[in-house]
Amino acid sequence: MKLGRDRLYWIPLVILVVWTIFPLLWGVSSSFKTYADIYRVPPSIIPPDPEIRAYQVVLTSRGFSTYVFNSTFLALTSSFIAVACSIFAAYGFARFKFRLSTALFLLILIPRIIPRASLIIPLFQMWASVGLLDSYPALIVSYTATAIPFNTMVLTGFFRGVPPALEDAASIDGATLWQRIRYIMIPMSIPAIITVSVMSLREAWNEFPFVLALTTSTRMRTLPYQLFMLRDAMGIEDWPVVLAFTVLTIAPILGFYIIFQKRVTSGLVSGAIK
Amino acid sequence: MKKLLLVFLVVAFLLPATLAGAQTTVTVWFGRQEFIPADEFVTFHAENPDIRVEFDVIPLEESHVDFMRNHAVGIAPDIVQIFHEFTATMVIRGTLLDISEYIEAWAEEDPEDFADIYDIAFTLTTYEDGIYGINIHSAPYYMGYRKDWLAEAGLEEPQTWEELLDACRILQEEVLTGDQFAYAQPGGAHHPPFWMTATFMSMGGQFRDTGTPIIDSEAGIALIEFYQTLANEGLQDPESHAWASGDFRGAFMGERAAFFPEAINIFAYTQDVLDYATEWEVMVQPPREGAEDDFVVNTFGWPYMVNSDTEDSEAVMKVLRYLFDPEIVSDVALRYQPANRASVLTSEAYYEAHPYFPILEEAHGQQVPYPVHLRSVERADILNEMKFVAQQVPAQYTPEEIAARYQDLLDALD
Repeated sequence: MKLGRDRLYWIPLVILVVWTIFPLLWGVSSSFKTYADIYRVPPSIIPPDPEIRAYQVVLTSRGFSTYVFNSTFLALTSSFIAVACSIFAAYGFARFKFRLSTALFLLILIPRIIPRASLIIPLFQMWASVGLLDSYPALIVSYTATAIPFNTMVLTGFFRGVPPALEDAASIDGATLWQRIRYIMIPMSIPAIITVSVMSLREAWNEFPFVLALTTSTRMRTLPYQLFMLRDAMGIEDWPVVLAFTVLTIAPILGFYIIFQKRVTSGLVSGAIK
Repeated sequence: MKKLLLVFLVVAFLLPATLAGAQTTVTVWFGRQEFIPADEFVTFHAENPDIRVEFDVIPLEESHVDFMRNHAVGIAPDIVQIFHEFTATMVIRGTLLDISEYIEAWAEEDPEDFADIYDIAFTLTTYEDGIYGINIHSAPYYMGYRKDWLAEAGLEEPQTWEELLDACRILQEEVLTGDQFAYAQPGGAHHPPFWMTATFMSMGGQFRDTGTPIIDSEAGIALIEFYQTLANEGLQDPESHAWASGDFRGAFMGERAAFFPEAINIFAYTQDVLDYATEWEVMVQPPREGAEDDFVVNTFGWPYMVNSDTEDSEAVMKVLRYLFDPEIVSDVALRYQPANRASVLTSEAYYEAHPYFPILEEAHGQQVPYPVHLRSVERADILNEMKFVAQQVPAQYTPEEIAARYQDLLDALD
């Protein structure tokens, strides 16, 4: 009887998994189809004549390596800077009581609430005025600034859960502020740091509005931007190529996420309950 | 010694100027990769060592917005390719350069070459009295249809929209089975209403001076009735609302549709999957019965416009003329979009690449541009919504009610 009730709980979960996984599987499957098979009715999940043409087209297309490099470089750089800044900000909020600290903590979360699209014009004007449009610094700073609020929130919650007595003991032994952060707080917060790193990396990797607005040249394009460029209302859309590009775009971040999945979950939960 | 010094001074003054000349850079934003010349300006650079062309691809859907945003901070390209309907907005914002004097000079300097160019190359980029660019490529929407299916039903090529609907009904009843439908067209969620406005214009639809379509007219009501009939009599796929351009093209090429309103570049793909002249054929979109005199061949262009801030308009004109060179433009026309040059479109190579073109040739020379509007994006949204409402099953409103409602919304834009 109990088993039957448990199985009932599984039904919505199975529906949710199918709802989530099926489009992904469909996309992967279609990337191996021929152009004609895409429009064939009734459609089939298994490609009738599987081929790797779409992947060959994407991998040999002009500029693909540039887009991969840009996405990787921007994601890694902005994530590293964002996490580093967030560690110090979170430490301050977690360990020091100062005037308006609560108000400031709330204030830092405001950028998460503001729609990204509304930031585009002011950011565009700002970067234009300093002559940095269509450059790495403009994107790195923009990506970093949008990642810091969430990272700070998660890390602050985690840092507050680390017993202050550990730091007190280290202070008695002569540890400086930097040493306390470096040798106590960071090692004890690895799950949370991995969590915010993965989240920052994912956000930077998938970012689209900023790169669309702040760049104009091919050399600055990222994978999501180029994916957008593949849409074409004036010709015949090569869906296998679009889907192959999509698969290659999401594969690295998906792999990264799967590897660190458990740590990300534990990091988020720890930050939430401590 | 003095002479030597004089020569030295002259060289010293002229050298920087010469070097500066060598550094003239013209930047171009193409709207699609396919518009880029096959030689990527190699020949141009050889012929014009003092001009360096740098180019990039910014999708037509984005280019006018990106251009105006970049123009505001002084970093827009010298030449930008746009959907022609945004010309008015860009002129009013002061972002484009009037190149009329250069066009006149071109006509005087090389009248033979100039005579080869269709008027639409300049009329489409004209706003009020200025010419702001060159429309090298433009194309009307024609109609592709299944010749074999019509023959099977004992039907001839329809000569009016009413005959086309009758043919659709007969095909749907007698020839088509399963998921085959008589007519295929895209929904309105993905694209501006190009296909709908082309049909509207062939039905004799008129526009106000502002570019607002007059929907509460006989042509407008006929257009709404046309879509209501397609949807309510089951002559099109019930999922058409959600279709993007690829879906309806795929429906025709996948042998699931008998008619599809399309352009020459898509016909080029179609002949790869269906046997031209035996399985399928092309026609000019027909007129509406009783409105034959108002019939026009619509066209949509992707002109190259010139930045008002360009530093070297002479160099820019050289680049534009290179892009319009018969050899350069012929390559693009053969593999992609038609070019507005008679010598290109009447060449044997073009007829070979596009065997259906002789049928369309006369109409192609009579292109009338879809009028520009200062608020064309909003105009497109309203028209797409109107089409969506017109295709409700069962119909919720009469064509007159729909026309009245959306005319009010359109007029509010003026």
